[in-house]
Amino acid sequence: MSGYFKEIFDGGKSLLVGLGITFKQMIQPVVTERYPRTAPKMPPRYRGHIDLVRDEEGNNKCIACGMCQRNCPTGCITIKGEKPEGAKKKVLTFYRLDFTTCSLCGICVESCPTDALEFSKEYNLAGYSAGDFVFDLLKRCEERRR
Amino acid sequence: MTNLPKDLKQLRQDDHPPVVHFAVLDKLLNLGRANSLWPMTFGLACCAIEMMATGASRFDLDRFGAGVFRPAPKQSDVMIVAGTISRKMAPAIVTLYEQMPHPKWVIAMGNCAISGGPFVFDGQYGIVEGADRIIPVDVYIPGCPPRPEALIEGLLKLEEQLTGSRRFPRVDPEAAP
Repeated sequence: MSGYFKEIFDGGKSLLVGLGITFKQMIQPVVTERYPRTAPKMPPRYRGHIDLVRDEEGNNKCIACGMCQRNCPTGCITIKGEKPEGAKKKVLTFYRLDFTTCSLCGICVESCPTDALEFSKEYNLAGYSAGDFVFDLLKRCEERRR
Repeated sequence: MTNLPKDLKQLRQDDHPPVVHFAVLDKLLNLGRANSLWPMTFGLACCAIEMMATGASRFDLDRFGAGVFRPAPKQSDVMIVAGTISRKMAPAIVTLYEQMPHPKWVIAMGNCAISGGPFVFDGQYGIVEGADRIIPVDVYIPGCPPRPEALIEGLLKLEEQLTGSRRFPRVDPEAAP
């Protein structure tokens, strides 16, 4: 019989302890980030997919050396460059990033000799087909210029 | 072991469309479905950690009616394929997908679930290169891993697909404060 009352007492006590925690949480500040209504700011070292850096005139700094393409462990970068008639340097004509195989290791950003690559702040990508995430970075760079 | 399709072709999105349509009732039902997308408790790799974070109090999937992670495929509407699909796991995934009642949707979360991610190379034999090789996928969320916001965005995309309109504002990451 004594075990019966002890069980009731223990059960009641644990209920009160649990409710105590609930009430304590109720008066504490809200931790939920109301995402679609308020957007968080990504920290400076956040890694989104890579993007071409723009200089002061809005051009890219890429010299089409192909270091990023060669160093990429998953081969998600394809670049093409050409030397215009009479020019000294190669000019980037095509930069494709297949983000669906990227693992954001950052070797491309590290190996770039002219620091022409950076991580973007894209953090909420979602789409209806996998092809949506094959980016033409040169086009993106020009779109941001406008 | 199940025979996986060898070609790269993506599977059809809805393999069993409903036989009878009721115009207004269907819209009403879809509105209900869109706001109670119950996912299956089903994580395969590191993306599942982000999925758990999305379900927890900071991001709170319950705000969208999608926080009720069901332990059985019979009770769930959406399968979030979160992580690398190994060839050994593939038959289990197909079984779980087939056990889910219609209508059902699949979200491929993370680069491994979309295309095999960093595990794709010539001669690899252990990884299925993308969830869409074995089951039809509705929404793709890239990232390695994607942030919880991206998973929320993916669920909102699925809602958008069902109801045809978006209930929540769009977020431009570049213009964030």
